[in-house]
Amino acid sequence: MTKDAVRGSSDRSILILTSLADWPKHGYALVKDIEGFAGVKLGPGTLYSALAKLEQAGLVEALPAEDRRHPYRITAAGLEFLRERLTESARIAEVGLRRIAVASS
Amino acid sequence: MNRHLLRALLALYPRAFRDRYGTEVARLTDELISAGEITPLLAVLNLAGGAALEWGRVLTGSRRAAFAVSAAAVVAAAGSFVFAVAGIFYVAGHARPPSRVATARSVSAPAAIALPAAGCAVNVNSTVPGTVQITVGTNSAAQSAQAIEAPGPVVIVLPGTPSAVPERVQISSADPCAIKLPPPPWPPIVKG
Repeated sequence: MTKDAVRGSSDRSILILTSLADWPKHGYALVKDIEGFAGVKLGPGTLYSALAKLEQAGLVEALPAEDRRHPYRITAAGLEFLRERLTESARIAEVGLRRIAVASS
Repeated sequence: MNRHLLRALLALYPRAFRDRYGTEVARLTDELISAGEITPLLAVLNLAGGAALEWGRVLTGSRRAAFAVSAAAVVAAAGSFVFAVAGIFYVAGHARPPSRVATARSVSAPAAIALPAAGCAVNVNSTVPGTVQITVGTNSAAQSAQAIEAPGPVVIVLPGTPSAVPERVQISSADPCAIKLPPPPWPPIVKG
């Protein structure tokens, strides 16, 4: 699993990386946090499919289990990947909003 | 959720995934259902869908695409069976009508993107099984349309004549969030 493969997947990976950007979280905390800031409720299958992909790509890592569940932490590579993607998204959003403004005027 | 049903759902996943994440998936499923965050029926659908995705990822990664399609069909059939069993459990154990689930499954919203120029190729890759409809054309009339059976990649070749510069590419599927488009600018087609 490579970064390119993660890039080609859905934006759920970005939601998870964004959620982990401040501190480690386990599955339930991830679901609640993502729902809070993005309004997207991930199911258990969806969440762990994305987590598996991110872990294989080296973008997140599992911490030692607490109470039979692993918290997950974003890696340095994950932070860099997230920074690139969010910068790219911001650039596209800026272009899109500018064009909408031109079309509306 | 019923223990046997949850075990049956986890059995749909590839062994490596099940060994690594099975316990956590089961626990999260229980937590979400207990907290009222998700209904048992939606959990069943989500887990069955996740299993299909995992098999697709495993088999596509080993370049056995043809076999992947067959395996996906088997998983889908197994998922349908589990879904039917889950429906029986759900109806037997819950008073809420299943119409809420039917509404959630009918989500459909087209994604539209602006095109910088004609003569470009756009790679589209959907990871969710089902038919993805792709329409290339102007805002007033579609010029061409094609459908792919997801999961799978497809390249859209945009019309290259000045009079046929498309104003949009519209892509729709049961889950538009699963469709990934690369950001523009897209590379021009190299004509041999």
